[in-house]
Formats: sequence, structure tokens, C-alpha cells
Amino acid sequence: MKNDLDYNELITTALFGALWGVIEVFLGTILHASKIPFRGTALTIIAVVLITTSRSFINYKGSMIAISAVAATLKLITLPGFNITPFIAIIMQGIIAEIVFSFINYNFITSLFAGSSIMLYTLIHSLIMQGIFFGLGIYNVYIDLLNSIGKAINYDGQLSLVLIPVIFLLYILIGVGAGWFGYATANRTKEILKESII
Amino acid sequence: MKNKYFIIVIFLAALIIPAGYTLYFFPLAFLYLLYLDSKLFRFLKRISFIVLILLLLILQPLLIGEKDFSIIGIGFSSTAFYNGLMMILRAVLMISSISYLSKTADRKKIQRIFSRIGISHFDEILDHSQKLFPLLKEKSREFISATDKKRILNPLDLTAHFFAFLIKTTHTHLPKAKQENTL
Repeated sequence: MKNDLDYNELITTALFGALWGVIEVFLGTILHASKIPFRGTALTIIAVVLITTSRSFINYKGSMIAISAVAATLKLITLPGFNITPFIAIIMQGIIAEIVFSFINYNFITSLFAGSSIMLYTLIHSLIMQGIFFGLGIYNVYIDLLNSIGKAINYDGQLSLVLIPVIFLLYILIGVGAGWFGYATANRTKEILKESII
Repeated sequence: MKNKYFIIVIFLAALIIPAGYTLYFFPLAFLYLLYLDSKLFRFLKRISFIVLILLLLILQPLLIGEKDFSIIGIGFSSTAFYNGLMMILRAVLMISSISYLSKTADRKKIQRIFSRIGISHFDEILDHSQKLFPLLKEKSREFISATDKKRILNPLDLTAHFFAFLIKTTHTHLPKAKQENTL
């Protein structure tokens, strides 16, 4: 982790952390109240865009963990109830991005890889939580239900073997898309900032 | 404080308790949690949880296992129903225990964890972020109201302009704040 941050890096880290916090608090509250499904997935897509854009501006070791810690703390301070699950999710997203960008440099490919890894984690996170709360038997229930639906629609073979990889692939593709969007946004933002200086 | 440790024991017990003892353990644990705070069970109203209840108590016995009893001519599996019921009871107990622990957690202690684990300049970054928090809310609203609606058709350019606007605003606002502090 970098110890000698200059003032610009410090402010930009604070900005992206605060922005992530604002999104988590306000958009998260709106989505929670709307009760629409896949709220966590929607927030993760935005987080991926924010992460892959921000790394272009704060490209030092530990920056992703710093912005996720700030976002999680702001959520913790601002909202009345403390929910441990989204708190863990935000920190994990930062850690995953940090691992990807620290071991391989920040570039187009790593942005796509970070995006897909974070999206995959979101899917696995909810499955892990369900496994803890309902017991590991919940996975067998899901698999059996999918296979029963397969039988009901006269599908030869096990539907779960097709559907589960499709769901995982879908999350990977969404992550790749969000990663691409974030990387392209970072480049365009830099262009806009340069134009405004000129 | 004592409740906190007892809740941890309940949580761990719910996690590892053998199926044969669940009927003795669950009702007592529920009564205890209900006595502590009835609001802990508010999550039962959530649509996602209701869907899981329907899935485990109705759909699962209908589709999985040997059908050994019937209601209005529809066959159900009593084993699948019992399994589903035990899963739900376990989840209710564990989620309400976690809710209690989260509710009583010392937020300042959690906040301090990040400084302790060695995130460099964390306190300074957080301090700036807290200053920026209301500014970002205000400036985001300003940006949205001033933006031409047609720009939504190019989301990449719109997002980039939004980030650029926030970066410029922050860098012009915070040095001023720094000067004010030093003065």
C-alpha cells in the first residue's frame, strides 16, 4: 500500500469514495424502497463502472480498498440501520478490484476482468449467504427444482446443467460490459478534462 | 452485553445443530429473540423472503420427493415439506440473530478497523469524503437538472461529463476548504 499520497491523489480518492457512498446511500435506498428484483446486481454494475473509472485517476496500490472502505463507512454512518451483508459486499468488491489491478496493471483487459470478477462475486455472495442461512440443502433444492421444471417442459437431460452455467456466463458478460464502460468513460473523462484546460 | 454473547451462541447453534434436536431448540430461541426485540423479524415481510418460503413450502413438496399425501387431489411430499420448514426456521433464527448483532454493533469500532488495518491516510480521506458528501449530492442534482435530456442517448459521454464535472468541482472546492481550515 502506498504511504506517500500527494494532495491530488488524496482528494480524488476521497471524491470517488464519497461518490460511491452517495450512490450506495441514495440509489440504494430508492432501489430498496422500490422493491424491484436484482437491486444488488444493479448497484454492483454501477460500482464496477465507478471502480474501473476511478482506477484510471488513482492508480496506486490500495486505492480500491480505500474507496470501498470510505463508501462502506459513509453508508454505515449515514443510514440508521446497520446491515452487515451490503457492508461486506462493498469491501469485497474493493478487495477484488485491488487484487486484479495490483497483480496485473490497470488496462483495458484488466478492467474487463475486474468487472466480470466483481459481478461473479455478487452472484456467489448471495448464494453463499443463502447457504449459510438456509443450509447447504438449499443448493440441492434449486438444482432439483430446475431439473423438475426441465422434465415438465420435456427437456431431455438436466436443465440445471444448462441454466446454471448460463446464469454465470450472463453475470460475466454484464461485468465485462460494465468494465468496458468504466474504462471507456475514464478515457473520455480525461479528454474532457484536457479540453477544458486548453 | 450478555445478550450479545448469547445471540452468538444461538447463531452458531442454529448453524450446526443436528436435525433431531431442532424442534426443541428453535421455539426457545425464537421466544428469546422475540423477547429481546420483535422488530428483528421485520424481514419476514420482504418479498424475496416470502418467495423463498413459497418455494420451499409449496413448490418443493410439489415437485421433489415421494408424494405421500394429497390436498384437493394434488400430491405432496411430506419429507420435502419438513425439510423446507426446517430450512426456513433455521434462516429466520440466523437472520434475526445477525440483525440483532448488527443493530447492537459499535459503529465507531467498525469505523476504526479501517485505520487499524493500515489503509494509508484513511482518516484524512474519510474526512475529505465527509466534507464532499453534501457537495456531491448538491452538484449531482445540479448536473442532472442542467443536462440536455437528449444526452441520455449517449450514456458514455454523459457519464464522462458527469465525472469530469465532479472532478473539477471537487478540486476547486476542497483546496478552498483547506485554506479556510489553515486560516
